[in-house]
Amino acid sequence: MADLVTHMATGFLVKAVTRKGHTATLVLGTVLPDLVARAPGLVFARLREGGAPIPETFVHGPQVAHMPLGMLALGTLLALLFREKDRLEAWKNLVGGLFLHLALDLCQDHMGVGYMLFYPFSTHDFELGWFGSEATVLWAPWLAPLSVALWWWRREGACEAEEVPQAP
Amino acid sequence: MTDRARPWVAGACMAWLLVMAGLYGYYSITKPVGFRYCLSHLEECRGRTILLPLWRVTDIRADGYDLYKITGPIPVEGDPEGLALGDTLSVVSVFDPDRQLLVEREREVHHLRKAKVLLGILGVLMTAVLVLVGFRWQDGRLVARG
Repeated sequence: MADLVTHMATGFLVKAVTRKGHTATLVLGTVLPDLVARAPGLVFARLREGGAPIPETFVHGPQVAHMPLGMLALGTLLALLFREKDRLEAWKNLVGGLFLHLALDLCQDHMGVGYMLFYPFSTHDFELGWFGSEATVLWAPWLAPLSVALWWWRREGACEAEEVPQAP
Repeated sequence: MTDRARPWVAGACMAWLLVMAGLYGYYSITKPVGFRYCLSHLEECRGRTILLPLWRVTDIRADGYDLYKITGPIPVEGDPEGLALGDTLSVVSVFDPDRQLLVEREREVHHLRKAKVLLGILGVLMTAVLVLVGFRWQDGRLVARG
């Protein structure tokens, strides 16, 4: 997994290009796989290491939120929290963010141990191996402010607001 | 997805996630790869390449080191020069059934792992701010602000 800050930055970059609403929804989607899948797994693993009687399956189970078919269910579940009239747009942005997260992670190299894209129908794993798993640590400090600045500059309504005529 | 279908869709999604999690949890502890499997299938695994991506060093010896990630410790034979307890490694190794350990063939030390963890914590804080600023709760439903 790439770091969370870089994942968020990719969400802002997409919104800077598309200039559509629901920025927070898409950016939330970009961090959800790690928050829902990785964070509980890490906590359970640490507790197990400390001697807590936590079954090993509890460590692995949440990882399905980092797989495409788990992401679809997670995005749908969260979209249900939105108002009916906003739900479809929220779903598109949440799922878009979730898959943007996976797309970035797929570019990493974990010595050939990749991500299962078709689980539970296949256990074949895949990764592109274009950069190391810590490469984004060096990108985050400049990519995060740059992406937010670009999004702010390009956001919907920003240009129109500048063109509001001054009162005489 | 209408409000009428909401409970059914929510139930179906949760059931799907639970089934997937259960299947994956079972698969992860029974899959026929890795050091643990090889310990119970010594001859089948003789000379098998085992990948250990992002494992933590928990012990260092003169001729090797121990690694831990969810399970372990796993003994690895290799040059411990330059390693410290707590380092994160990715290792390509070969299983040796006679000594019941892994022999290191290639390794990568992840020097930036701690910085990545700190960025993860920062990311969690930024997500909390994002949720507070980007959404509001109205009539029992989530509303995006922009």
